[in-house]
Amino acid sequence: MKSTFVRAVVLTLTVAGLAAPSMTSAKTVAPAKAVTSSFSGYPTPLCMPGTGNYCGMQ
Amino acid sequence: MSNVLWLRDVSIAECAMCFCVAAIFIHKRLWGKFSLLFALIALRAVSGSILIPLLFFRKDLGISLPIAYNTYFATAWISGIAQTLLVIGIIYHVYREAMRPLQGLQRIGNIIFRWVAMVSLAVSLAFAAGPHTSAVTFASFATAIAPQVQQGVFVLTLCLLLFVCLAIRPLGLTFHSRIFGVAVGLGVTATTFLVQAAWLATVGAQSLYSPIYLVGTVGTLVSVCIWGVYFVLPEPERKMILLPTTSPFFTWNRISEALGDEPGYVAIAGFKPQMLAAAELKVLSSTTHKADRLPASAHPTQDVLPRTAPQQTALQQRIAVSQ
Repeated sequence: MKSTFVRAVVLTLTVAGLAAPSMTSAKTVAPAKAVTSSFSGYPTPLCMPGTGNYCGMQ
Repeated sequence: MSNVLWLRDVSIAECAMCFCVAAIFIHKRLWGKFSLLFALIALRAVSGSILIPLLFFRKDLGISLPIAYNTYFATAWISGIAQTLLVIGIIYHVYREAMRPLQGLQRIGNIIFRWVAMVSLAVSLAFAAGPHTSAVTFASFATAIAPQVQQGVFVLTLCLLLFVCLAIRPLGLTFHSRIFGVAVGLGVTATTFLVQAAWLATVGAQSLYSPIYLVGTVGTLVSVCIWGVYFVLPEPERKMILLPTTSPFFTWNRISEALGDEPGYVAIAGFKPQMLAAAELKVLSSTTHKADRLPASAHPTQDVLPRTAPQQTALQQRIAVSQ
């Protein structure tokens, strides 16, 4: 019973993760050129330094 | 409470949790056995202590915007690339540890792992260097390739988690094993980052303070908590693995163990007695004499099927080759 539950959780996690990039809810939001990303849990800027664009840093 | 405050507080909590879990690793002397995971947690803690003040407390610290942004940019990128490489290393380590009892499958899996890694890298490079890239600078090249590599790594992470979960019994592991805990923590991070990645190319992610980053930050916080719990609790011993002879794990492991071995050679045609060395001839003749001295009851097949001269010669040839 317990192992079935753990398996179900892991399967849900995997399917959600694999299906996420093609989520339809994200597609309905106005698309725009990506200026930020995330690699380390913290937002990663894609704006080149020296261009005067600070990716919204306050 | 605004999104920025939520993001700030969750980031601080995640950074503090990383320090706590790193301290647990040092206290329990686990940083040698799980060195890559320890390095990942320590890197998150160190990069968090640099990035959080720059992102949320820049004005209080009196740092100018260009200096803060340049420092933030360099730290976030170096930390991000290092973390991606460490995650690849951890996936490899988890796989090797999980497959330790099945050496054959482990060996063939290592070959496949390296092959997939090289193909993934080649495909990412090909996409990044494609004609759609407008400005061909190192920075633009890096920003084009890095998200794709990272998403590929996270898909690989989820596949590993699924494999460990479904094959946990044949591998002798339980859901309390640290290997499973490491895989679950990585899986949570991978899922949240992939959910977050779906929103990066929208108007919702045009700032470093966008609410979508809460998803990834909460994901990393949860994963660090999972690792903390698994490494605080004592690990159960690995179970004895009892597989049925019809188990595909058993069968494929035996096949994999045979793959890549140094092959033996059989003389099919063109064999001449002159090809034998003196020592081989001596062994062959002694074997033949011994066979002749054996009583007739020891050769039951000889009575039923008496060998002809060519058959005996062929038998002697086989013996000689095997010797």
